[in-house]
Amino acid sequence: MFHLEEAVNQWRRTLLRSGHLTPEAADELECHLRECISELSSHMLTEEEAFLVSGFRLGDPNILANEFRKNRKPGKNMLPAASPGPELAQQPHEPAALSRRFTASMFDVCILVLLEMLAIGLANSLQPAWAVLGVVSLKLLLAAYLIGMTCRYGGTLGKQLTGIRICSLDGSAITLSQGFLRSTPFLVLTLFQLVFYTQYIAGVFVVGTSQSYLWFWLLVLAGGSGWLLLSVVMLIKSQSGQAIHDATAGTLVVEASDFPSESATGRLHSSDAPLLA
Amino acid sequence: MINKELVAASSRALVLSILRDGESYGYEIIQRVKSLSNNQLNWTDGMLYPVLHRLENDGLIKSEWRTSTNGRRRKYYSLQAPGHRQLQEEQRQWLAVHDALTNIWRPHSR
Repeated sequence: MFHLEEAVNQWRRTLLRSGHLTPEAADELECHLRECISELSSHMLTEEEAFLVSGFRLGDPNILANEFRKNRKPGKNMLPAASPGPELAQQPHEPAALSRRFTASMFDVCILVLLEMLAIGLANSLQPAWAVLGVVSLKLLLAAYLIGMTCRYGGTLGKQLTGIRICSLDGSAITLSQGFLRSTPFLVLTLFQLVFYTQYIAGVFVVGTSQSYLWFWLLVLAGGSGWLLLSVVMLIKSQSGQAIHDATAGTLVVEASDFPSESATGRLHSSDAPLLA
Repeated sequence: MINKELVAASSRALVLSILRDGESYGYEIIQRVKSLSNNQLNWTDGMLYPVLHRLENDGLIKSEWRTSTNGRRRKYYSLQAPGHRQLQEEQRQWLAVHDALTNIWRPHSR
């Protein structure tokens, strides 16, 4: 059984799915479609026939959408095609506000610092074997949390709470390799920490000395500050809001309100909170 | 039937000319084009809208949503001052092409 309203809605959705039409443009085309249908219906055609002929007259939705794409100029909802690649022109999401990104980072850093203190406590208080096991599993769990949350839910707790998400340039969910690439600075740091902690706990320094780790931390601090500074400059300069780790991984940080279907915070509480505990 | 390239090239001039006669909306513009050209100019209906939106972006025409007397919501377009000027220019160019072709097709010039 043919339902006209259903068919028209389906047709409209196909147009909008391309992301190249504004709802207003779809309204206008829908008015045209309906006008055409009602005229044809008065010429002995059934509703279904009238719908099919009208749809044919209006043209293939994909070709139409492509024609509308050519019309789009960089504006509120669109990023300029110039930087950093043409695929961005289709990016339908709003870049996340810098204040939110900052708040999210601060939240995540607080969690990291707390866990770091926990690691130091473990290393100092437990039997060496247990301390190594504790610190290594803590660090691995943290890496799994970071990459897992990023790939599965588009961001760590800080991002979830501030309502921003990481996605690919075309707006799709990021892949595992993008998740790893984006977390490179964190992973490198974790690796160094693991080497340091295990040696510190065992009391034997196979790699470096306890003295050389002071230099290592200074280096981390200097590198970290440089990285942060460059990221801030990139975030302010580029309209797409990509920091270094976004540029290397081909990701964007966008407002989560653009993903209405995904109430990520709801899902988060049910399944992922234990990871942090 | 007129080929695609010519249909596309003439779309601006046609839309501007139709709107010079008074405001109109997409569906009606399509009907006018068909009848004016004795069905020779066959547009894919939907393709008119990107053209209209471009003309509006260029400030040549202006649009307004209104409900017609029979209760239908329609987006009406009307020609603006820059549109009038643009139309004169389009007219000049089309007539120049037309004249060139007419001159060369005159019987005595063969």
